[in-house]
Amino acid sequence: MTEKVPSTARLLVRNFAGNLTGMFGLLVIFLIITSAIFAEEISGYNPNLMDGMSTSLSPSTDHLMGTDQLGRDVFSRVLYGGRNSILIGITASFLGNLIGTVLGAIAGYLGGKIDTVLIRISELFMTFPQLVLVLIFVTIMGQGVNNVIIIFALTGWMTTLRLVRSEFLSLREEAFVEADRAFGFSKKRIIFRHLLPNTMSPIVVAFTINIAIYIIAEAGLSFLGLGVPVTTPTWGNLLSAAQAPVVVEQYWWLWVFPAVAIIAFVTGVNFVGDGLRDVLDPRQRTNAKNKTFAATLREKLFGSRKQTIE
Amino acid sequence: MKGNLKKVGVVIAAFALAITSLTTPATADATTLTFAETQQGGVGIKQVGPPWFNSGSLTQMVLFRGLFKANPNMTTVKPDLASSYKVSKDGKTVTIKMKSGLKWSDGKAITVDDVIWSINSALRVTRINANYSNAFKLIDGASAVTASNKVNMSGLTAKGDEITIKLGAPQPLLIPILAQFMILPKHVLEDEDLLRLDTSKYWLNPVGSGPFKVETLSPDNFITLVQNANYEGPKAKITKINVVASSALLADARSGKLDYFITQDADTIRGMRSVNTFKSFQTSGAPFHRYWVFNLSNADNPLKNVKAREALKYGIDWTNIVKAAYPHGKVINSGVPSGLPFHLKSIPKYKFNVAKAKALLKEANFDSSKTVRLRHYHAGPADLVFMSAVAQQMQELGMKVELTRFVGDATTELYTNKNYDIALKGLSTFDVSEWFSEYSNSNFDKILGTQSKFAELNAELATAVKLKQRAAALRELQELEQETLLKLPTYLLPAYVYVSKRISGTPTKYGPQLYLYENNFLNWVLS
Amino acid sequence: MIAFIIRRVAIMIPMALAISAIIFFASRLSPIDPLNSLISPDAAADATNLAILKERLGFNDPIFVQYFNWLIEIFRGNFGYSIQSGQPISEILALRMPATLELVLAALIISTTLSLLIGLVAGANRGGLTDKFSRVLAAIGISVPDFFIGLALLNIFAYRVSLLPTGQRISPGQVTFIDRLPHLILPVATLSIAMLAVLIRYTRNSVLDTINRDFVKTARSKGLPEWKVMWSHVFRNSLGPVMVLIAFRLPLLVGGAVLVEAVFQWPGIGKTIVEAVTVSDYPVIMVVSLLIAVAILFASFLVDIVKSILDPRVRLGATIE
Repeated sequence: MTEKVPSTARLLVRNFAGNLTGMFGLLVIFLIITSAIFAEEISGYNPNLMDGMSTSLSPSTDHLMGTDQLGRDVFSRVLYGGRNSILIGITASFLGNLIGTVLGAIAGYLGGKIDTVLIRISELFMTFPQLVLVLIFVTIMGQGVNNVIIIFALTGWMTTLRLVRSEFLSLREEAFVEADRAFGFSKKRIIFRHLLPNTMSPIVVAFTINIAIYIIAEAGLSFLGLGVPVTTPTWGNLLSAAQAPVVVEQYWWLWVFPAVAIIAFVTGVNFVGDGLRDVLDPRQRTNAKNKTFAATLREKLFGSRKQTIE
Repeated sequence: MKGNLKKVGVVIAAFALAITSLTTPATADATTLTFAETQQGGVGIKQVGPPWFNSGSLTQMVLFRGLFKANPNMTTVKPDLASSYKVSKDGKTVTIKMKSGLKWSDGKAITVDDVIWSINSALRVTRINANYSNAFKLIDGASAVTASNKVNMSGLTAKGDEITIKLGAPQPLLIPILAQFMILPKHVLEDEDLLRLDTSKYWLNPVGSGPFKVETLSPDNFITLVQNANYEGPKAKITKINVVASSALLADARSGKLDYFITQDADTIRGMRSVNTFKSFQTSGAPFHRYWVFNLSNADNPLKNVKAREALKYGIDWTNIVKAAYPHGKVINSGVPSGLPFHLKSIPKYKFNVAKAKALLKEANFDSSKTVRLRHYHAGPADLVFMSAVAQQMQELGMKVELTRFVGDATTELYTNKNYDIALKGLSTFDVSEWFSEYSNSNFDKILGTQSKFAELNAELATAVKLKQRAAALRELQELEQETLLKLPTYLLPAYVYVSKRISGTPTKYGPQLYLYENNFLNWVLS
Repeated sequence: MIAFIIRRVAIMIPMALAISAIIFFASRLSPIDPLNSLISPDAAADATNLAILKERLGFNDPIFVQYFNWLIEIFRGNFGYSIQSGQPISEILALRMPATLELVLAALIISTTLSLLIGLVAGANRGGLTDKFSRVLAAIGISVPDFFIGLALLNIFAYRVSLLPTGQRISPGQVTFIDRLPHLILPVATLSIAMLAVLIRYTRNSVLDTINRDFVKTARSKGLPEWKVMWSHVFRNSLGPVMVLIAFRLPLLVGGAVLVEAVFQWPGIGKTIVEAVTVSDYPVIMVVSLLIAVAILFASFLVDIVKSILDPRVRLGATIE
């Protein structure tokens, strides 16, 4: 009997399983998502149920995270809010990555003028302070869950574009692509069938990290009162109760718990992102040295710049 | 490594030491009053607020004066720059006598010319409270005054120290409104671009007529006011006023950083209940209404049918929601709130009744597949609590609700863009006629269509000189309001005045937030 | 070298123009009429004279005419007027820029110094206590929204214990910088912590990279004392990349820290932006964003110049990346 050769996927899983922080992050994410899905069962309360008899209660055994001014259970709202926040993060990250990947593939494969134009456009978007850009978009498009997702996607595709493009630039010259071209495959086919699968690693990493970025961005936007409509509980909307100094001081449970949820989830996502990077892209460090210094730096920076949304 | 840690420790210790040495709390000064400016959200002080639009700030009260001064109930006045006034029998001529020997803070004399210039200019500026412009437009020849000419109204003349105002029709509100209207110095402002008067440099250090004048104005940070040596009256006991912005009224009040402020903010009012170094007063007069307006210009508005609007009155637990969001708010069902004179007793109480609401919706053939677009522009934390609770109860009635805040300015959104079905609006009414005049003004025409019946009754109310006429007009207006439910009165939001207990001599009654009144400030004493 | 600079400038100018066009047209896409914000719906107001003002401010011209007029005025140094407050925008900037400068500069200096210190120790003693601490700090630091840090600090030091001011920048009677230092402490601390997380991570990696280089090994083998190796070889050489990272943060000096300024009611550029956006004060939004964009372009230009001096390949490679 011949020894079974493990598939790449299995190898990856095994490697990732060995990554301690990555696994820890995955566990945190899993716990939060599961409890968000079973929000009502776990908390025992309907997140929208108003109870005039028990308003603004501090945490107790009845209400683990207390109640808000309308007597709604904060614990169930935090769980329920997680559902929306995570959904927004994932969708926006997916869409942003989609835009970035498609444009990056086009730029990297076609090169020339199209590449220059796309790179310039991406630089344009990058030069813009992200939160300011988002704010202007909000003014133009108005509030709403869908609008927030679209705005995030429109303001967060540049990193992916650059990653995909540079992968393409290096892959383009490799032998198997040359062969494809010799066979006379269409450009579309070469890009989507052959090149893209080989660039999945950075895309997956960027996708993960962007989820974290968007969840924090949503919180910031909602804190300014310009995010998702208040009827949709999200972590950011719950946290925006802290706009009132009196709430900050006297009803700490209204803003500390949503914040803790954000921090836990985002930390988890970042851990997973780092873990994935280690597993999927061991070349990255060596690879980085071949690029110009400024290029690597800019990549790192514009990734991290958004993280602290200044 | 250890050395480094030690260094870090030393740095941190030094830092901590620096903090504590720097933050010795400011000792309360026995002659300086600190007032927190809460207008414009209290987020910053850019200039002295021009008093022709919103007034009522303590700063405006001590810097400027009008011909008269209102008492806190806002209905009676006493002389201020003027010494007396007389209204002719037919109510169409008003003569006002000015005090003599009064001076502006720069030493120049205050004359009838300043009054005439101010009243004419009020019709030339961009930002004016309609109370003033509506009243002044009734003066003879007012229509000749435009922003681009220098013509003065013919019905406003002066002879010596006597001013004569001629009106086309009797105007019972003229004197109370003149008590709100601050006279500004002609000699300083006559060359200003009046369209942009409210942004003039003048407001950084205005020449005024009140007992105080600006000492320093640090834009965005603070204003300090000191006594005006040219003020003719008795000197105030307080020698200096610090006007500051506070982003946490409660914490600042408790720690003794503030002496006086006024607020409508529900959370602050709730929190201040436990601060025993302050006295609190609910303001009287000029109620601040919050209410819903319906955009009926949208043919698709699911609430087009009046029964559907009535259903909202029954299907939402207004009493409890208002109580939760605004502990000081009061639910209202009429433009003339219960408890005020002329309130119509026959107006239903609209007790919370979901079954009745659902029946009404059925009667109205309510289309639950359409989304009700609910909008608001007041976006304080309490407002968000209120709106989200209401939206939820509407959903429970079987409505699809989309609740968002207006992005950008509310006026455009309300009357030009009109992308809503219901909007929460506020209005501070000097007189109840303002509430009803909305039904037939040019803005509301755009969302409600022409309301000729309201227009007729409003005209009746405006010229009602006798109490009986006024009562009749108000009764009919209230009946019409209940019949049509074009605006849904929801609650009154009174403001609260907080006065530090270290101040004595303060009144026991305070006027409304956005208006000027006699508050006895000169007799306030600090300890 | 000169050719390289010229080429970079030649790229920068059309980009700045393109940005200005995007800013202008994007802000005019919004259906909101900015002048209406002068009239509050809460106070019965009279809008008779609004139309005249609107005509005079040029709001009725065709949009392209408006754009070119705007651009020409900007070149003349006339940034226009805020619609909301009516102040000249140059005045607003003059008022608010120092506030932002003060805040961001202080935070930059503190976070840089601390991150260099911690990053160096952490990198030098890989796996040590400081290293572990710095990694945890970095990991958590990038996961905590900066305004949450601000709120927590405010709650503790200003609300519960009234040790520090609850916000704002200057209180009456505070004249010198030292007088108003208490106002600065919390916002600077917040911003420093937020910046520190990213910086520490970066410094530590940079130090690690340098330590493994040959010249460090050579220096060690020569028998130089460890502190000397660390100081004159490792520290100095890992400083370069960190400095570049900091250069990229410089645009913050112009853009301000939107959320931190919002939490502390700090009257800086970030707060100006939020105020402007909430009332659609276009002229302000446009000028401020343009300014930030130009600052960032300039910073990246500086970085490229510095790098081209250090690394000639950049000059030859012409396009970045």
